[in-house]
This record gives sequence, structure tokens and C-alpha cells, in this order.
Amino acid sequence: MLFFQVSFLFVFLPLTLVLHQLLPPRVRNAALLAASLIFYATSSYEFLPLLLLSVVVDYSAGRQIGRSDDPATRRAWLIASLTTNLGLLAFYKYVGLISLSLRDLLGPEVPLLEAALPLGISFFTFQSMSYTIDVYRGDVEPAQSPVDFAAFVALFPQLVAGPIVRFRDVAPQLVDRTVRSADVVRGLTLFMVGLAKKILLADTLALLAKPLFAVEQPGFLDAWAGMVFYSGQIYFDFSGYSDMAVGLGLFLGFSFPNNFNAPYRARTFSDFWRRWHITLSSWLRDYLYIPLGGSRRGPLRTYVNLTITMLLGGLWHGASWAFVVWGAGHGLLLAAERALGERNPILRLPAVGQTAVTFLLVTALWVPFHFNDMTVATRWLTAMVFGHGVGSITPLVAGSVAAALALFHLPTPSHLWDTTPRPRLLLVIVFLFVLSLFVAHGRLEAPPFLYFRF
Amino acid sequence: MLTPQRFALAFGVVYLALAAWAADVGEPEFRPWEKVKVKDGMCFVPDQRIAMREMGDLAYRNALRALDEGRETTFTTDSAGFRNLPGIEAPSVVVLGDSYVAGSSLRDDETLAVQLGQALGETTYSVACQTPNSPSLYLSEPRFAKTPPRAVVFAPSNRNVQPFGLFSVDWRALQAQPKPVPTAERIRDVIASVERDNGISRRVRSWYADVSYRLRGHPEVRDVQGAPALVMPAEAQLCDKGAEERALAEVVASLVTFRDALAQQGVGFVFMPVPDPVQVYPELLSAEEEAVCDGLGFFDALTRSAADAGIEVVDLRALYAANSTPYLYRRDDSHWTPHAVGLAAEALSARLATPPDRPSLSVP
Repeated sequence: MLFFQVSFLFVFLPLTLVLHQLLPPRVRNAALLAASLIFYATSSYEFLPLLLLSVVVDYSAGRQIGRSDDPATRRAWLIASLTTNLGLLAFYKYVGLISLSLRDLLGPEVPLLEAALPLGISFFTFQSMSYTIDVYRGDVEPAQSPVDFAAFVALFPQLVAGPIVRFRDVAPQLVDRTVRSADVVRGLTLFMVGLAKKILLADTLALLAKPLFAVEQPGFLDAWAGMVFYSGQIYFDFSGYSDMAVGLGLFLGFSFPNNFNAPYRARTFSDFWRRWHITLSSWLRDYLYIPLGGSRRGPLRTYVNLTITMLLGGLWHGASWAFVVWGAGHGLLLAAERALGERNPILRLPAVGQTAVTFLLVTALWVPFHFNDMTVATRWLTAMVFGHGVGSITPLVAGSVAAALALFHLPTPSHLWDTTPRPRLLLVIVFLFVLSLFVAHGRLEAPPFLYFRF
Repeated sequence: MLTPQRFALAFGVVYLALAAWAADVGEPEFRPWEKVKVKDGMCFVPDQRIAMREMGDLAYRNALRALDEGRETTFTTDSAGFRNLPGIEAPSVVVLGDSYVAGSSLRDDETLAVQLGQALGETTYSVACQTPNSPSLYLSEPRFAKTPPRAVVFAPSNRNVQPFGLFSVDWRALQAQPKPVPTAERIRDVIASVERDNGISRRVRSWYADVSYRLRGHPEVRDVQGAPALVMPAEAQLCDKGAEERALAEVVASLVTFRDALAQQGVGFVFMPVPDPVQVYPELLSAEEEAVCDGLGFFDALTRSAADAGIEVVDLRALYAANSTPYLYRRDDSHWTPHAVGLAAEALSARLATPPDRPSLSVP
């Protein structure tokens, strides 16, 4: 079930919201859990047991860690939780890549293994794992009820593509929450803006990019135009989903963290990662980069830690060397930025120049991410440097690139109700919502969100 | 002053209007075929008579109301679940096939079996459903073993020609005991049909398709003899598959086995594959499609190889190429017109009538 489908908007969502509001507080989480499981089952019922396994293991681990004073016992339960979650991820996500790589190395006698990817596995395992780690560290009290914990892991708004919510962010709301009308309206606005971002911007940019990506030997400008469109597509697609998820959370009385903050306005790479997929980058920082030593063990170790963190962040997205290259590229650039410090020549540019350089580098790094094939990615990157001629860019493409670049600078919708509401702007948003709905339903097959495949 | 409450109220009005519009979930059926077919089964619900205004399958799939011809049709099934008028006992000719023979987009009185019956002056019977293996359906009917017809015609559409095994299957019993379907899968099916057929989707798709068609044409619309016609993509007509990919040798072997099985009962056999539009009108292919299209070669190789194997073949492609005006396929549907059926019925009738200048039906 996609957020813009009729069955979600006019059946599942109103029924869930009405039930949620009418039921007494003590059974609200149970109702929410049931709704979330139905939501998941309609897309991926085969993997429901996997989701529940993750819930059972991590709830039990959290309880045992919370109860025990014995460091060895606590550590054993933490390891059990990490092993289960990382084991699930490794099996379903990486078994194909591992067997393929072994086969390349050792020969055709190594069998090729493949497993269908359970929907949202990257998100719910990270979410669930962060809980046991936090309990182990003493950062959060263990969940008191398995239903509350299961509702937290399976919360339908963010179950399949984030934001990655931590238990400590929503623990008080799981116990006691109030749905205020101001929050509902704020959520509504976010939801509508998110939908418009996905349907009107991301999908349109995908359509513009498609013919450019179909060219075997693109010209310099065509190669760049295609990647600028892709940069826009992935941003509006993923941030649109996140906006909708945060909005839906507000309908239910939850306050999820924001996942994006105008990332293409970033002036440096570290700034970019404070604005892009914020919940993942902060997860990687808190549970990987800092435990590796962060920046506390000298400059060289800091660079290594940054690279390892980003490399694993790349691998989190998918089992292919292209994602490893994407992650490693970001890690190396972050490390270089750290190493150069004030000597970074980019910092001598005016603000707009810094933003432009950062955007171009980020865009170039989207190449392996998008093509997910290093041979094609290398060919495309070569075209972005040398090109097969300048390219035959049309006025439509040029205008669209300019429009996309301008759209990247739109304010984030989370601030819409922070200032005085502007009726005309809200009217435009409602209009865009209706238009998005019409466009989405004018197609027989709606393209799913890009991050569903992670 | 715009308060959150006022905004919510205004939005609520828009939301309820949209919900009411979406709630108009129409039936997914757009033609009698869809209404009478047994879900996940091979044939139709027995003893039905559907009368309705039918929309062509291609117009429906592309939401192109602009090209919808809208025909009043009737669709009658007999007690066995085949499309025949009730009460046909011991037919002298049985016609096997798929949606072409069953008469998708045709009225009851326009089907191949009916037009052939009129041309021959004999009782004919249709055994045609949603399966490429209608020969097995025929063999599964004990009544034909008890009172065999004098001839069987097998007329699959080109895109349904494939090797088939011969077996007797009690398909009605299979349909009576449907496989258990998980509830989640059923919900998924319901969601899919709601998404496709709710009021907003239907109307918006239709607006969009019509406006887009009028502004910049449609990739599946071709100009045929001065008027627009929807044509299935060449790939769907298996145009890109050659004789080897479609296992021509195995197809012919299947046909020979079936012919021999019929011969043992003293039943003659005629094979009449029905060409898809691009085989009769190669000009329908776009330049890109033409570059990858090998399907014309397959059809010719099929008729030639079958004839070489001693099977009686009616070559509809040659007949249709010589009578290509008016257009022989529906302009809003993937099937043939009553006129095209009539041409096929005449050709079959001539072959089945065993005129003196032709060899008798190949019954060894």
C-alpha cells in the first residue's frame, strides 16, 4: 500500500485514525500495531514473521539487559540482538553479493545464492538494534510492554523507508500521547507537500532523466543534466516520503525526527551529511563512528573511521560494489575535508561557489548509486568529465535543469506552521495535493518510492 | 485569520469530496468475457447470458475512451461452460481455440463456430477458453469420445501457439476445489482492483489518455486505412520471437500427436492458426519494432512445417493479406472483426466440405 493510493488515503488511514482516537489509551498501541502489521502484510506478508522475529528478539534482549547487573549477561544479550539483526540483514541483503564475489574469485563451482529482499528490512533492523544498544548503554529504559515495543518497530508511517526513529525519541509518546489539532494540521501540510514532492517533482524529473540515461554515449552536458535530474529525483522522492511519514506520525501523536534539511544548500560535505538522510547519518555517527573511536584517536584514525563509517553506510543501501564505491567516495571526501580544515580551497570561494562545488561532487557520486553497476557508472563518469562532444541539450532540458536547481532551494516544509500561516500558500499546497492525487491516479502503475528497494 | 482548525475544516471538505469520488469503485469488467470467466480457471461460468455494452480491451487498458467503439454484445455459455447456444447435441464440427474462437469482442451470432455452422449448414460447437491447450480440453470431454464429431478445427491465435501436451483433466473439479489463497493475498488483490477501478483513477486516466492522445498521439495508435486503430505492442504479439525461440519443432510434434489421437477416433483435423495484426499488416510495425521483429517468419514457418508434417492447414495469413481491406481487426480491441471471422469461416467451410479437387481430410 502506497501513501498516495486510494486504499490508503480513503480506507486504511481514516479507519486507523478514527480507531486510534476512539479507543481508550491503554489499547491504542495494540490497535496501532495491528494496523501497522496489516499495512506491512498488504505489501509483504511473506516477511511478517521476520519483522516479528526482530521484535521478539530485541524486546527480550532489552528486558534482559535492563534486568541484569552482570556485565557478561548484558553483553551476551546485546550480542544476541546484534547477531540476529545483522544476521538477517546479511542473509537477505548480502548473501547474493557474497556468493557472486566468491564465485568470481574461486570459480563457477561456488553456488549463486539469492534471497528476496524483505520490505523495509534495512530500516526496521537498524531501528530495533538502536534500542538494544541504547538500553545496554543505559541511555533509555527498557520498554515495559511488548505491544508498545512492537508498535514502535512496526509503526506504519516509517516502517518501510524511515525516518529511522529511535526508541528514546518516542518512548514517552508510546506511553502517553495527545493528538493536538495544531499537530494534525501541521502533519496534514507536511503530508501534502511530501506527496507533491514525490508525484509532481520526483516522478517528473525521472521522466526527464529517462531519455538521457538511455543514450549509450552521452555528451558532456547531457551526462550532467541526467545526473542533476537524478539528484532531484532521489531528493524529492525520499524527502517526500519522509515528509509524509513525519506528517502521518503527527496525526497519531508522534513526533518523528526530520530526515532532510535542504541538503543541496550544503557548503561542505560534512554540512551535506547533517542535512541528508539525517536519521541514518546520526545513527551511523552514534552507533558506528563514535564506537570506532570517532575523532578521539588522532587525525589518521579519524580519517579511517570516517571512511569505514561511510563505506558501511553505502553498503547499508544495497549489496553491490557500486554502493560501496558511493559510500567510500563520501567517506574519502569527508576525510579530505577534515584533513584540509581551513586550508580547504573550497572554503575560499563565495558561499554560492561552495554550495555549487559540493552539489556537483554529490551529484557525481550519485552516478554509481544510480546505475548500480560499476561498468556503466565508469562510462557515465567519463562522459561527465570528457563527454562525447558537448551534447545536444534541448531548451526543455536546460530549462528543467535550471528549475530543478532552483527547487533545491525551497524551504523545508517542516517550518510551514512555525511562522504565521499564509493562507495563499496553504491554498496552493491543497491544490498541489489534489493535482498530485490526480497525476498519481492517471497512471496505471505508479512508480514506488526509490528507497523501498533498500 | 487562518487558524489550524479552519484550515482543517476546509481541507476536510476537499477530502470528503475526493473520498466520495473515489468510492465509485466500478466493476473491473469491461466486456462480457471478464464477467463470465471463472477466476483462475480455464473456462466460463456455465449457463450464463450476459448482454452489455462492451469496451475494447485495448481501449480499456489504455483508458482511451476516444477510440472506444462501444459495441452492444451478448455472451451466452452452455451447461458445459463453453460459449455456445444451449442445446447443441452431437456437433459435426468442433472448433478449438482461445479468445479469438471464443469470440472476445463478438456477439453470440458472430463467433467462428456460429459462422462456420452457417457456412457448412451443419451443427458446430466451440471449445475455447483462456488456455493455449484447448486440445486437452476437448479430450477431457467424454461426450466427444462417445459421439465424435466428423472434424475438429484447432484455431489458436499466433501469440498462443506453443507446444502442448495431451492429457485429460477434470478441470471443472479443479475449479470446484480452488487452491486456498492467503488472506493477505486476497487483500492485495482487492487493493489492486480498487486502485485500478476507483472513480478517480478511472476518470483521471481517461482524461489524461484522451487529452494526451489528442495533443501528441499515442504510441499504440496507428493510422490504418485512414482511421486510427489501437494495436498491441509488437512484443505482445511475440513479434520478436523466432521459430527457434517459440519451439516450432515441438509445436508441430504436438499437432501431429493430436491429429493422430483424433484419427484413431475417425475424426479429421484442420489446423488454422489466426495471425496477429502485424502478420497481416507489417506496416503497423514501427521502425524500431521492425528491426527486432522475426514473428512474420515464425507464422509462415509454422504453416509450412505443419503442412509438411501432413496436417491440413488453412493459411489465414495469405487469405487475410489478399483481403486486407477493410481492416480485419477491431480498432479498439486486440481481436478480429466479424468480417475477418466470416472470411475464416468461408475458408474453413471450403476445406471441410471436401470438394472434389481437394484431398479428403487427412484421416490415415
